[in-house]
Amino acid sequence: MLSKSVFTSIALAVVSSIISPVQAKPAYGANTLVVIDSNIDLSEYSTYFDDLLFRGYELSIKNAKDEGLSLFSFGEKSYDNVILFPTQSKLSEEFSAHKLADFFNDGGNILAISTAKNPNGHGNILGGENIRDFASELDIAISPRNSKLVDHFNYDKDLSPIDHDTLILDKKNFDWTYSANIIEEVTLPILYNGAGAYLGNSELLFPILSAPSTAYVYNPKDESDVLESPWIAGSQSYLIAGSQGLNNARFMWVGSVDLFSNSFVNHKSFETGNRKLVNDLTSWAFQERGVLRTVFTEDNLANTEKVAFEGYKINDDLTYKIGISQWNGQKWVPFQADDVQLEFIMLDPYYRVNLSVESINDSFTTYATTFKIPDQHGVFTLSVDYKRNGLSYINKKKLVTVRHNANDEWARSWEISNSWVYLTSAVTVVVAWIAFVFFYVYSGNSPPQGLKIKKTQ
Amino acid sequence: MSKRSSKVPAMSTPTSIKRETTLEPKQSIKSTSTSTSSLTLCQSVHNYWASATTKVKLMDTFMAFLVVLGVLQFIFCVLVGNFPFNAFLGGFSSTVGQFVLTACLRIQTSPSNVQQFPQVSPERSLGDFIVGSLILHFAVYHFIN
Repeated sequence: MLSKSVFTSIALAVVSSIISPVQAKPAYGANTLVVIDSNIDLSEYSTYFDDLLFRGYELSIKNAKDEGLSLFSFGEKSYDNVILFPTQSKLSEEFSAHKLADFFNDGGNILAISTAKNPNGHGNILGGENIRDFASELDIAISPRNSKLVDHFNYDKDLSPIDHDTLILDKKNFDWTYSANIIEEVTLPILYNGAGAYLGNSELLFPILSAPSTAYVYNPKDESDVLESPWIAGSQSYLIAGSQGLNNARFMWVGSVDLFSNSFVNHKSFETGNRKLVNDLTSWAFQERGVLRTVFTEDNLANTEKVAFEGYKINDDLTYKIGISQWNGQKWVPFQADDVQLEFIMLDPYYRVNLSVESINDSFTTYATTFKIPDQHGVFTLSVDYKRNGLSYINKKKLVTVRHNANDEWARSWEISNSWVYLTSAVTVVVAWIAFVFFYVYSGNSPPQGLKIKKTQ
Repeated sequence: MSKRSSKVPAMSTPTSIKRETTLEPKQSIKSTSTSTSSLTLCQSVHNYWASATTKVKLMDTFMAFLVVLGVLQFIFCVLVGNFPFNAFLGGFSSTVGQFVLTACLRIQTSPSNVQQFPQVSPERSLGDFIVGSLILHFAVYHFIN
């Protein structure tokens, strides 16, 4: 019975991978470093690695103790992606939190895995310290070593009958506000055994999986009849979290190395969603999923061709276009959304308008809008700042100069009906003045009438 | 030059006569107008018509015309709004400026002021007036645009 179920699940996996029409691959680079050491039994994670190889990843599996192992060669990053397994041996300086940050800033993607287990029953997971240091810079505070997550209500009876540290999680433990673009829907139960973490308020952080409300993290060394204070309790403990830098490099932290293991993928009594989950997490972290790209941006006067163009003038009509495409695992396809916005900013946004779909072609969607430049000259910024959970950030800015009316661009006074009154008046004054001068010159010096009378008298 | 010097005494003769004559009606007004102010007004208007030269009357008429035109424009601006403000300023200042220039001409050429401006001949006054007016209207038409 047992062997049969294992056989069927393996057979299903093989068939599904063969007939799968879409063979996803990363958008940018598949060159991946896997850091392990002697306490990691590779055969335990064969399903996971096979899936990665099948999707086209080039894996360089290296021992943490290897001489000369480095993320960089001659200042350039040597790998596109890094998977850090929880090694028992201390990682070298080449994998310090500082170097990991350099790698991340250079656009490298990192999948970091923690664990709560000491595989040999003794010693510490020293490799996890580097991960902890780097994760804390991203606002992920991983529980201290030697502590572990337990739940006396949602544990797996087969794998942890006494310790209660293998949790069964399902769909409702995921934070779908953040993970909708990161993982596909979870239908099967997930097995988890590992650490927990506090998450900070960083805007770049995506909480994915939280612990059940009855779970807590504690240090087994404190074990006594009554637990005084758990390190973290309830659903504020997060088990999987992602982060995307402003350069769109991605970091994924998973608190359980067993999540990837064959024994969790192939549970003896029920089918688990672990295999699909870890593949989804990896494909997001390594830019297979939720990857957007700006193809072009264009701004121009409305209804005109792009010819030698000097700049905008107040009250002109401006048309802005941006082409956005999304990576579907195979190729770039049009990205469709109704919430892409354009801002027209000078200190404050003068406009924040929705961009509407203008056209869709094979590889990208063109969003466009036309608006009237306000009656305000200066240096404006055309800005598309599209940040959505789990999608690559799009941040396109362009400075444009808006000039005021030139001296000869104002309406002439005779085009304005109000000024006809004043024009008439000015013309009348001139005509009357000419007449006045004429009469003045030719009027002669006639003496006053009264005087005439007097003179005659 | 000789023409001008010959004309100056010709101008001065009626003014000297006028000065004598203007004194007489004033005295008569003072003595007779005791009752009402309207009578005084009538008297002074009559006196004006009797004593003013044709040129003075011409200038006064022109100035009154300018005042009426300026007031009309101002009322229009208050009622309708000052939108082409440059046009309003142009039209209004043309009447004001022309009024001021005409007033200057009147002061300089009025027979009663001859002694005040002994060095300014009537021809010189008229010339100044015409040049000033031309400059004024040149500016006004540029301002109205």
